[in-house]
Amino acid sequence: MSLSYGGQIMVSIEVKITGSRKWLAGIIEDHHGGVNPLDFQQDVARIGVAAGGPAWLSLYFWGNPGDEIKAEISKGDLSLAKRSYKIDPDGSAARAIQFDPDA
Amino acid sequence: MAANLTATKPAAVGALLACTLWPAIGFAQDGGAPAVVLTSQQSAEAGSQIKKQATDITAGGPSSSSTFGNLARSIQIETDGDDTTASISLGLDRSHPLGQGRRNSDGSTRFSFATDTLNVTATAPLGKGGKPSLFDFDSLGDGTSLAISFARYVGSVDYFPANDARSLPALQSRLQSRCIDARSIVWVSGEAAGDPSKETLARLVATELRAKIERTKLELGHGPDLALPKLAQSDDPKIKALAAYLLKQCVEVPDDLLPTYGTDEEKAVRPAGGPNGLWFFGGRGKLTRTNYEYLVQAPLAKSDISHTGYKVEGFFGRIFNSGRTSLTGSFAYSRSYRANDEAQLCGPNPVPGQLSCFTGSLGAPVKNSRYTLAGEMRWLLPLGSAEDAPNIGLAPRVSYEFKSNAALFELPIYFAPNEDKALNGGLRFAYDTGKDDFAFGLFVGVPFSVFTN
Repeated sequence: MSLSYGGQIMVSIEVKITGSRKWLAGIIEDHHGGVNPLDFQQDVARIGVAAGGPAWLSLYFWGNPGDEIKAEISKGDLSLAKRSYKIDPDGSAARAIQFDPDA
Repeated sequence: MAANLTATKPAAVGALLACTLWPAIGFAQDGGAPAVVLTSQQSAEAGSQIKKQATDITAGGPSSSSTFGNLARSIQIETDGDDTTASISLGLDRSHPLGQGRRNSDGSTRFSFATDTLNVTATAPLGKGGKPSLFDFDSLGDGTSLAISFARYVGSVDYFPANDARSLPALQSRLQSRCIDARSIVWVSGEAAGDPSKETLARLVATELRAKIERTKLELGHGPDLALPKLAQSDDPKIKALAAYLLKQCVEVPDDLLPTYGTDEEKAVRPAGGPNGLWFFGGRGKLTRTNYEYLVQAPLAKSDISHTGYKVEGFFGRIFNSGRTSLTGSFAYSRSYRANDEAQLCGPNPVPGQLSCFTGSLGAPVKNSRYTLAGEMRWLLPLGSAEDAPNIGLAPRVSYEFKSNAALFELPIYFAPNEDKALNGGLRFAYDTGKDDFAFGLFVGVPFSVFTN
């Protein structure tokens, strides 16, 4: 789904995080350098991302070491990226995913 | 709102709450009777079933307070010997930014985030029979209960834009690039298998793939995350094979990138502005309806009464940036009912020359209000300097009850790992100044965590 915002074509994407963690933060940066923090409600955040170039999703976690987390970025029914992570031995984890909202 | 429904077989024996785990194997000193008397068969069953139940219990310390509202989100029916307990647990969680980002002088933007969790749990015993804890410091009983808990964890991230070398995306791109270089050499070596001509061909493939990745980056701004999946669909079978191999090694399994390919400088700092510790606070409440049986003396008879006990607790704390230590302070008020000591009473029987005897608590349960201030530290301690050195977990806790002027000192020491190498068993020592009683026991199935429940 695409929509226009301030002259930009925006693509609506969904970020889903599943698995055990105590604290989660997500930030999306589009190819224009626009930075937006994510609001996850029950594992899912929805946000508009500028079309026309790749974007970055940065994820930060705190949890119990070794706990598994899955992250998926999707656009409608299309999965743009899927990753599996484990919380690092110090109880935190920071990971980034580059994805193409135009895919 | 999510409600995950799982059910364990009624035949499964196990402790639902951490407090019921404690007495699995334990005894009291002070010359008293054993705190828990289990047959050897019951002990064996409890041990195996407690292990089985470990995954149903949210991580936390096995101290007296951590028995509070620490259930997984589920519906469960569980049994322990003659007792059966059913519980329903529902949870809400939200991770969200707090306010707008604030620009730092180093070019990063600081965003604060909170993760809120709200859990409601209802528990009901389906069978009969009571079971004493090692020390029942909360004294809430084990009847039908409703528990609610809320916790907020707050941390901040200093976010550098992706085109800044200090950013998380830039760090990840560098690590992936190093991984691609290193793994390409491994792939070439495997393809060559000692044959110089095959090695030359494999090197050409690796060089060509590297050039394609660089070109994609220059033309489209695509890093390995986006370039390798496309190259793994290439018509050239060699390019396709190498790209698929690198995709698996350097993109889809990203957990060991920093330890394996990071420089000492990159490893030394928390990745790219990641959170330096967390603050947390929250509250818990629990309402318990318990039926008490007791003896009355005139006339000699058994009687019973139901009472509602409750406990409310507030807590706050800090998880330090090592991720291995936390401190928690809490204050709790509880109103509970405590059964009197057991006695055997005998009286005249309608049959001449015979007595009827009853055993039970003597007199109705006594109302008891408690105001408890507590402090707890949780510390994961490595036994050695190697990265894979084993750990022990310590969770000392001090509780002080104002009304009775009594303190409880607890020291659980975790040293037994489970199948996933997570600490979930050990020894616990406790001393109650009110009873002047010292006890210790083994525990299993309570995972160690620096987080509060």
